[in-house]
Amino acid sequence: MHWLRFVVLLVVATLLQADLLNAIEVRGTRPDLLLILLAFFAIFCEPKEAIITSFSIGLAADLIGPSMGPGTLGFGLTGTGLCYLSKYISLQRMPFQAVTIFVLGFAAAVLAYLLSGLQTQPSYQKTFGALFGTPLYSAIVGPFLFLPVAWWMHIKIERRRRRFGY
Amino acid sequence: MARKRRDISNRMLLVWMTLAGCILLLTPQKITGKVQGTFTHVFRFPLHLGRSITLSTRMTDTAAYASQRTTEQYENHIANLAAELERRNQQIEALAKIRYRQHALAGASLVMADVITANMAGSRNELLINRGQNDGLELDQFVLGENCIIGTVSYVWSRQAKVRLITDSSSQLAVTSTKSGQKPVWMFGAGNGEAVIRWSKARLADGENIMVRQYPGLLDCPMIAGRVSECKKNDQNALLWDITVRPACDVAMLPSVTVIVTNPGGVVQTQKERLGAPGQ
Repeated sequence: MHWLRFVVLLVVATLLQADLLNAIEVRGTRPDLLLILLAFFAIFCEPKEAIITSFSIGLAADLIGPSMGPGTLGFGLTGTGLCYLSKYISLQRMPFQAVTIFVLGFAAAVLAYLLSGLQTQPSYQKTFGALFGTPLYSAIVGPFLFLPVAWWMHIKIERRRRRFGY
Repeated sequence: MARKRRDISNRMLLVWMTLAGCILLLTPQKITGKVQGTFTHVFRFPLHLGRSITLSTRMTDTAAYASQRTTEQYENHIANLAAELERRNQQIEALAKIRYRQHALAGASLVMADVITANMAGSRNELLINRGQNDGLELDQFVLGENCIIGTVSYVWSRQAKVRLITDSSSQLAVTSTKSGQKPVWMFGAGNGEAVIRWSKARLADGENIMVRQYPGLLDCPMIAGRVSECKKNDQNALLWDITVRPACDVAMLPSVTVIVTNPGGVVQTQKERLGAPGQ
């Protein structure tokens, strides 16, 4: 794992997520680059690396979010869970990755919303866009971003192609 | 040592990370807000650049956008003015009703004021209102609430004023009863929403109206201030009566009051200077 490359990637993704992605928002919904990174590292990294990257990405999401804590725990726990789950199911094909990103985003948003209730001033909102819109948009663009991320991180990913015939 | 650090298990790592996340979650948002602010400050240039790019992509037609902004500003301004006009109309309507009911106030300038705070506990019974010297308010002017005298202006700032209620312990007003032939007597505030008339020679019945007598320059005709709630013999002199008076309206629930400005811009003497001792 190239940690320096990971830090650079994380900072760039956080800055892009902070404001620049507003330019491509559709009806108030925009893709979540940090969610896509979370899914990527949870699928393609070892458990220890996945845990560290998941919590780090969650911390980055909190830095540009409404409050700190819910995102760290939400992203960290769901990313770790996906990492362990990916041992048992194959997530090499793009449709599966898209579904995974959607489910991961939904779970992380719900968890962050519930955890923010523990804070003195609950900040996360249970909106349709946060729960469904952002994960759906991320699921559509996410699998296409896996390749450049893998190239930058020097991680080899194998994509199985559909086999025809017998 | 180095090997031990490297050999930390995944489960322990997850526990430590979760614990750190929980600490972050429960840390007061004042502190975590500073961390977020620091991040924004450190990366302000790329963030500003991103903001500029986002805005530039949205502003495809600059002239149309500027026109739209101006239109929105005017629309908002018109909405604010309409709301202000409606509020003024309501005030004018309310003041006109007061004038219609109280012919003695026809020549007076009435200033309607909203109650900011009402202090009715203990011996201090005061209201803070949102009109002041700029609106023509001066000391000792009478204040109306629900068509009855509730107090006098006791302190004036430029945009706010304090109203000393008739039940305030420092309040002292010359009053008469509706019984004819009664000489004015002093009514003192007793706190806790009550006022008293001590050593009255006449016994007054419960519910009888107590009128503030006219104060030339401040109040042109007697107006009701309260009603008798209790009348009992004085402890020291059995020939005199102590009368307890309650205000004629529920002052604590008043959303707004009206100040009677009968002599706008004139020199107002204090009540004692103007009136002298009661009964004289």
